[in-house]
Amino acid sequence: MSVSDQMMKGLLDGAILGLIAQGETYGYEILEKLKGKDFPEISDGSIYPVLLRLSKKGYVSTQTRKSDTGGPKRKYYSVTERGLEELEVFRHKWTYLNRGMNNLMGSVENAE
Amino acid sequence: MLSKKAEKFLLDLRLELMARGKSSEDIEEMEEELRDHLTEAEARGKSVESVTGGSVKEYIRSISEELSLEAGLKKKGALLLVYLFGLFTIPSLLSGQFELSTSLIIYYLLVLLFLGYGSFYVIKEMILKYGDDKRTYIFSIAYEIFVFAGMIGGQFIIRSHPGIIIYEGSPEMNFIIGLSLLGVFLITTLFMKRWFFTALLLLLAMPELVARFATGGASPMSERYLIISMVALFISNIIVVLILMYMSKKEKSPSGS
Repeated sequence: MSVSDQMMKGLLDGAILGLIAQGETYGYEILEKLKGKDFPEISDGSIYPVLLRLSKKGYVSTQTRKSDTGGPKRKYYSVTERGLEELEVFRHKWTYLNRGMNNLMGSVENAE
Repeated sequence: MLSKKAEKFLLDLRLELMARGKSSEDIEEMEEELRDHLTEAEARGKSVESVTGGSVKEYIRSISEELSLEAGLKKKGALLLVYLFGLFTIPSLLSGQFELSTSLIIYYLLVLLFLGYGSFYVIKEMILKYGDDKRTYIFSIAYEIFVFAGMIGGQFIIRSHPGIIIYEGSPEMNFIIGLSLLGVFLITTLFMKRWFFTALLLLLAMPELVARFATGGASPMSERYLIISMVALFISNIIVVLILMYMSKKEKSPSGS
């Protein structure tokens, strides 16, 4: 896996956790919201391994019930206390990382 | 209602994850979630490729990494191997004719490969290619017949080309070892409440025991011994088939009883 792919994988975890923290939601809706926010390089199915990972780490809780549209059973996600704590850590790290990377990439552009 | 392509993708996903020994609960959950997603995606005019990102195999691999293995899978696999070893050796030990040779070990390994992994692979590929069609059953049964024919042929090859003999006991010694192993395996399977495994082992060992006691310990090569053991083996096979039919009927019953 390339460096940029690894970076995207890590950021997607944080982005999805951030979306779930805004209110109970489900897979397809999460995807639509990510696309709505112009989150780059995302294929429809890539969110499900992330959701499974977040669930196993106890950052989100799930509830399966019939969907409003009458389709198959739908799994709804909600953030947990642990998930909120992790989101705070992520936000904190992202702020510093973003600032540091902007400074660094700025000097890379100047060098070019 | 999902398209055939979407259904095929979900089936492919399920079979591939099962083959990788993933937890059935996790597989169930993942399939349900992707079914919901695909239903919504197709209703909005999107294709299966929008979910997989183009490569079905790569997508299944990425999902597989996140799913846990079936609990105790390695332990169950090891126990099954030990059980199969008992199933193969105990009847011939009881007949007094057991002989452990390099050819026999290779034979056991090939049986495991073709009967175990091979059967699973063929059935999986047939389901993926033809679905719930009669061709799936025909090809799968044809493969099993081919393997069983190979097993019978293999027995003849072992007799004429045993290779290096590792163990060769007297008929009495073989019988005592066989009887002791039968006792251990029966107690273990009963203790683990694996009734089918207990019954299968007992039914396969029974022809040799019946023939031995009915002939008063005659040679396993004698005509009387062979006839009695053949009849007993035939009856055992019928009982095994009846048990399997009963179990299959029980599984299909909605109440599960």
